[in-house]
Amino acid sequence: MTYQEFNREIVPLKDKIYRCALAVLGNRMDAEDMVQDTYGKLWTIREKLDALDNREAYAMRMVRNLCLDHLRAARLHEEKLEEEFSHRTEEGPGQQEELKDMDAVVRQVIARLPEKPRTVIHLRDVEGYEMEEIAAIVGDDVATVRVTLSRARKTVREKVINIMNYGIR
Amino acid sequence: MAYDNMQELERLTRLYLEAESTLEEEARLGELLAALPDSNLSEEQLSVKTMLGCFGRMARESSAIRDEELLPETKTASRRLPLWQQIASVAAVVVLGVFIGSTLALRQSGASADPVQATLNSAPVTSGQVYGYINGQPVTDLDEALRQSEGALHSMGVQMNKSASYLSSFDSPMERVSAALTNMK
Repeated sequence: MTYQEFNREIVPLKDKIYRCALAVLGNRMDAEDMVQDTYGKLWTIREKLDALDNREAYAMRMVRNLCLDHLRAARLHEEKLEEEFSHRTEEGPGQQEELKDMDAVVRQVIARLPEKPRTVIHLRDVEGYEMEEIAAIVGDDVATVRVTLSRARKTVREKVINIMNYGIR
Repeated sequence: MAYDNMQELERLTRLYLEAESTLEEEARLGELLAALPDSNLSEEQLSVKTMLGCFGRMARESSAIRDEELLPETKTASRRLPLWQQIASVAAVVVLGVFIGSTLALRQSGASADPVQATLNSAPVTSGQVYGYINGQPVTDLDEALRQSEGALHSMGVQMNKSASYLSSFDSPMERVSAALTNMK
């Protein structure tokens, strides 16, 4: 793959790769670092990209794996999220106002999901990937992806209903 | 809303939650939900509408990283003009600018008997004023000459900016180092 081809075909995936990293990591700065790392690796193996049928799925799988490595290395995954959300609920009035926004609620509920359902719901509902592509990215079969996605959607639905009715988070 | 549409809405909502819907069906579900006021929706449909609305907004988020930052700097360097070409471009633009500037000044002062005018009159064209040459062809239209000059100046500006663009690549690593040091404290 030449410089021009890379620029034309891989660079435009930047925002998708960023959103995927953000979905996995939940932190904008870390997500942007992962985007940079992903592009560094993609450039290094650019000759091999020519042989791939679905370069986009490959890039998404790569960024997810890098994000997981990042989380493992930091050993902060669940602890970090728990800390973040317990901190958020103790925020002042301005933050409380933000949490009233249903967008913030949905994002928070998704961020609390375990990594795989979080990534699957992101890839399907935000990025619009086909089930087969998601299966290739997360390394599961399609049936498993459907089960994971269904559970994730129902979890988010339940939380949203609870918040709409009772303000329970 | 027609009864059929309500039935379709219920069916698509169920398929969506079971993750059995296609992308097309999910798009249709979004359309149906968006077309209805919240008061007409069931609790479950309203929650799905909230989710789909949020997902749509999330899909429009983008990173602050510029495309150039994702590509190796060494490749951009090869696209720069060689030094002698850059110098030649600058010299050509300066000469053209002086030429046009003096011509305009002469035209405004009405000094048609000036030696410069005589030189212009002797240019190898059969009619019109010659303001310069592009690829060996005389430019006799003043507006065209001005456009060409602006284009050349713009092109030169772009080339000059490119040649210094690699300096910005030092910013990001320095910021990362600073952030890392701050975290260590």
